[in-house]
Amino acid sequence: MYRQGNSHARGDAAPPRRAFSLRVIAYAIAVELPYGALVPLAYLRMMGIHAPAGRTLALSLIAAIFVAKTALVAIALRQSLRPIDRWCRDAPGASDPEIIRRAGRAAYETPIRVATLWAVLWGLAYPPVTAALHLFPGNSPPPWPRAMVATVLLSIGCFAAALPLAYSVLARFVLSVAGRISLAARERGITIPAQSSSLAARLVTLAISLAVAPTSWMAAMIVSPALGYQAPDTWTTLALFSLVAIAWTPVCAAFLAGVVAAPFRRVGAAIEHIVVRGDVDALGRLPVHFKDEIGGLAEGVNSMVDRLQETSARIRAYLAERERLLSDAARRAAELQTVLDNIVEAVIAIDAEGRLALLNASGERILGLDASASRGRPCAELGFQARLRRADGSAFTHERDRPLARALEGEIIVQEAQIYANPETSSDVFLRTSAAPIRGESGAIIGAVAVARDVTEMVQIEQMKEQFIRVAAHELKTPVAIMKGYSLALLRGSADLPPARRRMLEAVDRGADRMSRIVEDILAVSQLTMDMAKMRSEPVDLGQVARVTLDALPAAARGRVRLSAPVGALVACGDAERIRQVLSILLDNALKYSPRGGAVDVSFAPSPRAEDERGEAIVSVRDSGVGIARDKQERIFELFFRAHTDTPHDYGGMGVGLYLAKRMTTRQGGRIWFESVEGSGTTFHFTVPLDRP
Amino acid sequence: MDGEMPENGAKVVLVVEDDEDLMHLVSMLLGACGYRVVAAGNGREALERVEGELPDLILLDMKMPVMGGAEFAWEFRARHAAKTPIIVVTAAADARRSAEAIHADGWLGKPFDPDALLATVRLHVDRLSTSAQ
Repeated sequence: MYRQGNSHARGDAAPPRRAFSLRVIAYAIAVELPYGALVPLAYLRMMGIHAPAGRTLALSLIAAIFVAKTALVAIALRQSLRPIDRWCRDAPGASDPEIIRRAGRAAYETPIRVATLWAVLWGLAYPPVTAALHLFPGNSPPPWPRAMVATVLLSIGCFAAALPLAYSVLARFVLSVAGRISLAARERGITIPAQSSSLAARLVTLAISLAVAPTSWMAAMIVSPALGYQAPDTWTTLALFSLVAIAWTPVCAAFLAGVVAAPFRRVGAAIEHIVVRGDVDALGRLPVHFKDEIGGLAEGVNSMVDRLQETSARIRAYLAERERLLSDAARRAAELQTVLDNIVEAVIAIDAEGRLALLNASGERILGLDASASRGRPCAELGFQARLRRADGSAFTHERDRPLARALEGEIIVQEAQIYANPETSSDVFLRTSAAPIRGESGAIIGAVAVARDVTEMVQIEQMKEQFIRVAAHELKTPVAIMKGYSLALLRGSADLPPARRRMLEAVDRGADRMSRIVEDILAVSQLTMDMAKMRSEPVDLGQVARVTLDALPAAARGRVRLSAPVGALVACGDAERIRQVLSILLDNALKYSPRGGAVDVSFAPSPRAEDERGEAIVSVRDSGVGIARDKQERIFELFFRAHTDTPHDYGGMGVGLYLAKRMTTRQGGRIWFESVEGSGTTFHFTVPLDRP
Repeated sequence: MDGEMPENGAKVVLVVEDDEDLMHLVSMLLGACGYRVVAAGNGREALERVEGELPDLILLDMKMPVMGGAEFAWEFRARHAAKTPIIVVTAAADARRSAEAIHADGWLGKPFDPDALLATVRLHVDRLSTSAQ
């Protein structure tokens, strides 16, 4: 019933094909017609006109006046309803606002205006007839002025009767159109500027009419010159008058009931719809049939429905937004899970209490855990922390040394090596673990996440490579030993060797030396990776290390080295073997690049260090050899860089010595640097932290 | 070179080495200095050789087929109470550590200087003979 919502044409009756005004006129005349026939009869009896000439005159006059009156009413109706016709002709949905406004105004104002005109015309119809009968006295004219008084009383009765009847008839017909127009106007937000006619005023008018019409009707009958109690026709006339009155009242009442009750019924139905169905969005709007209290009620209901629908739309939009956010979040979570599950690194997250919060597919595989069964359980219970060892294979001494525990304390861990014993495969997995704390909005640590890469394959390949290098270098040493041994034996054994052969044998010996040095370098680089892992940190007597280093030198070289040590032991903190290697590399270089056999000075002394109280020992090795070219100095510590390639001082090797020295020095917390002047010598210095606290 | 020494008074050096060329070189160098060289290609062979006659010194390679240097040293010390010095001659990256590992008396890294070889051998044989006197 009220489903039209945005399409009023669908709900209510379709627009009439014929002009709306013509239909109204036709109905109006049809309703009026019986009265138009009965009232003249009553009038004739009341006037006591019995002569045929008088009757003819009176009836002709009445008919003429009736036709004129009807024509006037029809013209007024036609004129007044023209905007509605215009609106009906247009497609009602697409009318321009002005047309709607005018049609609405016509619909609201026509009934009361035309009804008033109509009633007035009824009221004016009979006095002229009475006047005419007096002016043309045919057979027994009614006595003047009694006849005129009776006629006026009759006219008042007619006016009072016609007014509610005309109004209710017209209103009844215009009502549905007015409702449709009000919906169309509402849809476009148009206000119809019509005078409102209060329901109360109309009811008062009706009541007065109901009182006045029969009273004046009866008064007219009594005053009538032709009647009186004693008159013989009085009862017949009374019956006739009563018939008119009886016919008028229900017709009038029925129409009025339709006018008043129908809008109420519709408002009631709309409210019931809201209450029972609760379906606010399916509701249309109530048509406003009259600009009156009922119309106001309908407007009120319409505004209420508007507000309800606005609220409902807001709630729906909110729900849709919420739904969208939820599905967005779910999608993002799914994406993240997919990403997490498809990366090769294990991702493990724990909450602040140390319970497992997240474990991806790689984590399940690498750690040998079942994510769904483990989530939410304390890590200690899951045992994977206990299966984690340090890179050198030793167990963690404290719980708090493990990466996740340290991350929970706020530490950020980058690429730390560990070994994990996988319980599923019962094999060791080499891990590179990074970990970081997870902070909440306030900055407090609410958990920790670790990303562990399985580098087992890499470690195995690395080990294989190292092994290959070591085996290859090892196997090379024996043939080199044979070459060197025989060439030296031959050189030494025969004093009478021709110079040319001697040079050849010396070349073989030098070749063997160079090859030997290359093998040593390869081994040293390969060894470094292994040594770095197990670098010790213990008290080291530097004087002792220096003496051991010197002892290992060939006797001839040893004679060229001058050692100046401080009085008493200088104890550093580091790895004795590594310090020995560094010193040995520096000494080797110093001796090698002092071709004229100059002395090499080795000295060590304590030195205070600015940044901490520990202090450090500076070990210096000074030679007066060939020096290092200025343009080569910057790169001297690079791996495989050889400052003396293609110079007369190219003594072989792969350019790894200073690289190794620097790696080992810095690993122990020391520094290494040098001063060099090409042609006059080089001094290398390196530091080792002192042991005393 | 040092003068020839009488055959019967010569000190005996057991050379355990799998490389024939190197074995020949060492034998030649030691022989030229008057030592009598007993050659063995691996640890097992060396154990057989010492059954008949205890050497004054053992030059021991570490990496050999059948039986390596470390295993020989252990077996030798288990079977013979003799204090025969063992000198490790090895191509291992860290010759000194290999030697310490089997409690050897000295070490030589390959490749070695012939003078260094002779000096080492002489040092230990002489020390033995002085302490024996």
